[in-house]
Amino acid sequence: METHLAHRVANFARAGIPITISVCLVLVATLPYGLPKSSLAAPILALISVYYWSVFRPELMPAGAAFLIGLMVDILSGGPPGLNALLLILVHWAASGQRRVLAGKSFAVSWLGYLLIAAGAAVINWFFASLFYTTAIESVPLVVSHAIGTAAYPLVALFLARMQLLIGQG
Amino acid sequence: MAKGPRLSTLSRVAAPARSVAQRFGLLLLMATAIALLILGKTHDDGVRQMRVMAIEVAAPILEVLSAPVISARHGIVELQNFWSTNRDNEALREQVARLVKWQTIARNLEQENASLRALLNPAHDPGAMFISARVIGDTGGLFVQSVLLNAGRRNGVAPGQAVTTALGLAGRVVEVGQRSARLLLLTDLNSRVPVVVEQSRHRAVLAGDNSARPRLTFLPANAKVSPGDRIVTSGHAGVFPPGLPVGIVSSVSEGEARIQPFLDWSRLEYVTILRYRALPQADILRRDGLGASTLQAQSQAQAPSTGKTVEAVP
Repeated sequence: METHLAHRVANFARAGIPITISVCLVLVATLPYGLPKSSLAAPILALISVYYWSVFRPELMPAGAAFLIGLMVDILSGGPPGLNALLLILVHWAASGQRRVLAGKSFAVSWLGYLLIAAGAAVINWFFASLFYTTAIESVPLVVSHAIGTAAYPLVALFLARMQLLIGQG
Repeated sequence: MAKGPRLSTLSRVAAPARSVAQRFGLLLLMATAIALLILGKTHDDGVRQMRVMAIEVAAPILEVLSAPVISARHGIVELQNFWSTNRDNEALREQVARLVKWQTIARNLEQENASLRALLNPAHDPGAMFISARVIGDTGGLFVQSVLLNAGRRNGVAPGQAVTTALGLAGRVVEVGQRSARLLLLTDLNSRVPVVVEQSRHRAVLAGDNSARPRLTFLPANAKVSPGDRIVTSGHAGVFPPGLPVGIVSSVSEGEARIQPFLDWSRLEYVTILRYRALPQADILRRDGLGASTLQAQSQAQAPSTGKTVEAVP
């Protein structure tokens, strides 16, 4: 009986790994490293994490969790409230919808998937931010941020894949 | 045995229902996010208060987590210092030789200033009080240039206060919680700082545009600025104390001057928040919109009411 309970607690903890990792990534990315562009790290890591789990373990990264992670990024950044929440829901929807294509194939396919979905997110980001600030936002920072995210994806995905092994198949 | 078919009927009904519920949930979340965006546009204050409350929860976590990051940064800086000790010594010796001359000049000027001041008896700038704070979060992302500080209302921080470092102005406080505050940097899209060109005394407004080098706006048409000119705060509007170093003009093209701030963003660790209030709020409101000459005339006329009478001058 006791082992059964311990087993269930362990399972529950494992199921929480994707959300916990995403939250930790955002918090750690927010710390003051004093590096150029380091304030872009939090939204990028949130995007990669939500994309990754939506492709590989969508049942452990529900849309509500993507929403809350996005909201957390919005609160910390002080930017338009709800913008990252909206983007991450859309990323979750697109990535989990296409997971048959994106998961299980070679790594390059999931990377390409990230490139396309994050590019779509950047366009939507630009559109809503421009509406929010009622001015055409400069698009260069968005392109730079997208390039950094795409370049960082393999490294972050490698780390997330390690974490995925902890969850197991259960 | 009889469970089999019934379960399959159930799942046959439940599966589409679940997918409908999922889709509905997705739409609901999207609608919530868009509603938040609209609320953020129309009810800025309410959303800001909610954000401050949420940051209050995150601040202690960030404070603990940022301590080792700051230590590591100190370590790296110390290592760099160690490598460049010889070179630094050489440069510092030269600088000391130069500064000794300046010290003599400054002493003479101080004397002269004091004696002239005694003759004129001008109104003094109210002294600024300081609050020191540590940067605990490098936030902002794509559209906002801001950092989180570990001092808040309980330390005396209030919205609008100027924030400086040893090198120069960093920005102003925009959101304040009990133990944390958000510093809006000079470079942010919403940052406006009344400044003056140190040499020519031309007034302007330093406007951020999310780039590393903010722009000088509202510069008089006849004003001449050239690269290398120092820019300091003017003290107009009473938010920033006058004379704080801001930056130097880095480029001038087609009537647009850009400023390289003195601040080293990569070493923004500790900051000083200035508790400064030049004039009572009512005074600012009354004087708002008056030209410089009338303002000066008025302040002279009002001098007796501030307790510093002109007659008292010997």
